[in-house]
Amino acid sequence: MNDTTNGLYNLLLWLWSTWSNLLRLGSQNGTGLFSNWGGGGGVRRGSNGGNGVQPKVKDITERFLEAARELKTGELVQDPNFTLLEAVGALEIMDPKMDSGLMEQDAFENYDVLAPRLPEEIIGILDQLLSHEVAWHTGSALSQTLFTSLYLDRLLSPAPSSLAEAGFGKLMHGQQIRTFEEGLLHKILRSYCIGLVKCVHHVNLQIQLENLRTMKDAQHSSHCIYEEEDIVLQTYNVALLERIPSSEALSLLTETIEWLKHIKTEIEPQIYEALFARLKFRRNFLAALATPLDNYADDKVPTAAWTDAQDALQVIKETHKLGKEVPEACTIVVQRKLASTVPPRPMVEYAFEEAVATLERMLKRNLEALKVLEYRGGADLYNYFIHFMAQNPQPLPYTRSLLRGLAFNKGQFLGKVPVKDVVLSDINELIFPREIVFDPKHKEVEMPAHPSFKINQVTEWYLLRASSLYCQLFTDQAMNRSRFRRNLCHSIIEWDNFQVEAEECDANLADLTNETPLSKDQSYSYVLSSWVYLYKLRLLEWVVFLGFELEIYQPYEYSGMFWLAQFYARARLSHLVRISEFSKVRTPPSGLSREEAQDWQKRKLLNIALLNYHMLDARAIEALSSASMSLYSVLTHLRLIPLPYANSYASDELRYELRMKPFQQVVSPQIEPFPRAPEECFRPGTFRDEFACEEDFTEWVEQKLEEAKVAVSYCRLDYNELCKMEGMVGMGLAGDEIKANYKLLLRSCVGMSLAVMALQMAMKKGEVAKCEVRIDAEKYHPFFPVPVVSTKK
Amino acid sequence: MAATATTIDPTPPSKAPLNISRDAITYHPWDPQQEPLQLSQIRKLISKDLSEPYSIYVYRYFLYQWGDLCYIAMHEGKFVGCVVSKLEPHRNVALRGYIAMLAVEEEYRGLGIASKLVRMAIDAMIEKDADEVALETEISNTAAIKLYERLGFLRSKRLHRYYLNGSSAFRLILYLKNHLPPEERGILEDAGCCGGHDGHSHDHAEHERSEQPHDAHMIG
Repeated sequence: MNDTTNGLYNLLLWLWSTWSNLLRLGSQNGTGLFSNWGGGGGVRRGSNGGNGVQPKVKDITERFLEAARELKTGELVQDPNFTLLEAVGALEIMDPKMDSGLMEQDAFENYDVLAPRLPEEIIGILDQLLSHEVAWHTGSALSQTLFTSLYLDRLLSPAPSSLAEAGFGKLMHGQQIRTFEEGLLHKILRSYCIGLVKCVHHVNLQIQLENLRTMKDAQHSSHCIYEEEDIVLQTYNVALLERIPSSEALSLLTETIEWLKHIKTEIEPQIYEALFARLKFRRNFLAALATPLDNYADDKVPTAAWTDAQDALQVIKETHKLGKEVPEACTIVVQRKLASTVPPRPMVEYAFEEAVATLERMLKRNLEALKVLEYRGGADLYNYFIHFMAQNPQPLPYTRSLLRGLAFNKGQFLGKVPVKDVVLSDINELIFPREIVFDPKHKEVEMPAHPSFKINQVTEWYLLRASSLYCQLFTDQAMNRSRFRRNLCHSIIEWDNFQVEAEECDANLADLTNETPLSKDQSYSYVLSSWVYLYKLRLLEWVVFLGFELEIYQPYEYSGMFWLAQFYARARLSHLVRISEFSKVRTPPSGLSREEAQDWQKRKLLNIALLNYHMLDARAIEALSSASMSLYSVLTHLRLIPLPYANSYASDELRYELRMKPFQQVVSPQIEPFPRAPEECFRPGTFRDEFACEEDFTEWVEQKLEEAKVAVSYCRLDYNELCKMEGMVGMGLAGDEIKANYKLLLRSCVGMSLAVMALQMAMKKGEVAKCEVRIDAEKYHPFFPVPVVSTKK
Repeated sequence: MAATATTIDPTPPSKAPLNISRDAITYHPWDPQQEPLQLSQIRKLISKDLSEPYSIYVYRYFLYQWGDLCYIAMHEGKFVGCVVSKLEPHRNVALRGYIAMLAVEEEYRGLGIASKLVRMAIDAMIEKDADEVALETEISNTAAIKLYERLGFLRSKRLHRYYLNGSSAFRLILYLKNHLPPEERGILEDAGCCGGHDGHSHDHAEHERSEQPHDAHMIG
């Protein structure tokens, strides 16, 4: 290509021989390559005008055409920087499916926002806006939801800079509202819309701030949360009344409410109630959303606003039937005007009933999120977060960002406690290390050669690194479940590396503190790495179990994945046993006062109780996983669940390698390579063929079912006990949720046990061939889908 | 921007299928010489099932660079199905094939055309020494998921709200070769990492971090 075309080549990135398409479009508009193609990427004539300097324009259309003619059809000149992503993002101008400029304008132009509306219609419009708002909260773009409203369109364009300017037209400038009819539009609808836009603005802002914070905290930027997949923050250059303070919007809503009260007698009571509830909801919702998170930390928590919004929402739900829909008040043609580079996209239909249910859940959870302010230690916080985020359906992005934002604000927990103090409290609760390790007095020593100085150096470094990974864990939990699992796969590697580093610290500390090893095997406590290992094992279990929750495994993989789950749970159990061995023999440091000694004993007992609780939990998970492993193994080899297709490109070994990829990179505990992995779990198609005769296979089945039966009966006992547990450390904030979770696990347990019994019965009667199996993931714990065995009629 | 990858539902149509013999379907590699005619037909076939359209660049992106991994199914001179793919190094660790688009005309579904097309694409990738094949499919498209799982694909991850219409996807992966060095596979306990390995080259450091958490939101 020659120099001139090179310029164009850079500009347009790709040059096809079928440029004719675009060129034809250009000529249809009566212009050459300098035509303004609107939207994206076109060359605009005189775009740098304004400053008084005449731009030099050289028409290269002809030269461009000439160069294009030299290319054969199908020939491609591709700039390496032009990626698939850009190709997918490209639009063809004048193609009605891609060019939003070609949308019919009629709907847009024919709707009169100033036309008088019946009170019922105003209710209908308000409820439509509410549905759109919830649709946006759940991940749809503003262009497909709220921005389709012609009232919002009028209100926001051109961007009003003051409350007085924000309106639908006419009556805006302080003119008196004389009638109810005028007030419906210029008071009720207007103030509601202004409040609504401010709500969107605050949610947008909170999530963006939270994104920035997490990016700052995180070690790599990909850990930033709530991307487009969760909520679309794009506003297409439409200003969301940023220049109008929320206090003014709130006053306006209050004024409107007062006005409505004033004319109450003129209005039908039901209509009055409906309008009143909608305004009240909007005012309280905005008041709560507009409260900066810093205020929460100062005990200015908007609890009342959330609960008032909840009350108002009930009335909205009950009075929805009064409303009359005005479908023409929303149109996707608004997308013509939005600064967007995507093709026209359909309006999102979000049913009102569903919107209210989602909103009810959101309000409830926003209130629940405030519980984190009652923080009582690391174990508590950990349990609280897990159970909060595991709720199904998952809390909305705003709620998740609220909780994470409240918890980790400005690099500190709750905006006031340094994160490393939280980590330290967690270590003290879980591991109960010797006082000398984290003795605050070490900090006072300034002599570099002094052991105290060195101990402090080691623990400070450790706490800093631990805090960062600890924070990350909570950030990861705040993501959607799919991304959570993916991020965990990366986090486990970081925890794995950190464990190696922490072990070095521990070896140093054993030396510096003259630690006496436990007599029986001459081993040292390794407190720092113990904590890391415990967390890493929890994360590994999560990665395995979230795969079940997200339906990533096929049924024939279940036995293998449960094998992995029991492998990690068993490792966790033995690690907890090891920690408790050190803890149990701890004696109080010398020189404690009577009260201090009592306090020390209390902390030791709490630690032992907490460890016992975790051991029970790990033992139950291990038993249930083992039972599930055996059961699904039997189902696979009895051919009661579908096997992998024989005539495929895969092999057992390649499947194993792919599935174990996240785990294979972890140094400890190391998983077995394929040849040593249990065959019954990882050779679904061929394991059965290894038996010399049918009797041997039958014997194996019976033995496996017996093993499953025993395991399941043990874990039933454990879960029964766990369900009854009261007042445990770490159950303060999420006690109810923890119990509900154990009940669900117990249900899976019972389900597995029924399946085992049904199979044992079928084996006895020789009726296995008549059995049918359906896997139920709905009614049971998402980590333990249950096979439901029935007999074919 | 999340792209809409295409895997067209290959379920048999609800109406009675045409009386077509499988033998009457012919399969052909993409022929760049026929581009003016074929491209528009491919486009028509694929865009039919898409909620949002691809620009011509998307088709050309694949066809120009990996036309040899694209196949077409025809019946009596009519285009009835096609598969569009690519093959590129993935994070410098593996040579990864990718099934970008798969479409079969509705009344021709249930005849195994989609499977045959995908097999042809995978065979061509194997020919070119691919290590693995990947694709995404909508989680509700059970027929497509089944099709790929029958070929040996595993779901490797779930992608939340991956498509522009808000639905989530599964990423499906098929390993065509071992990715681990022999001593990590438990077969050659003391061999050096790449000793005796079948010419598969890799970088050890990259093995550690072969998958970044951030999934590029694109068909690729």
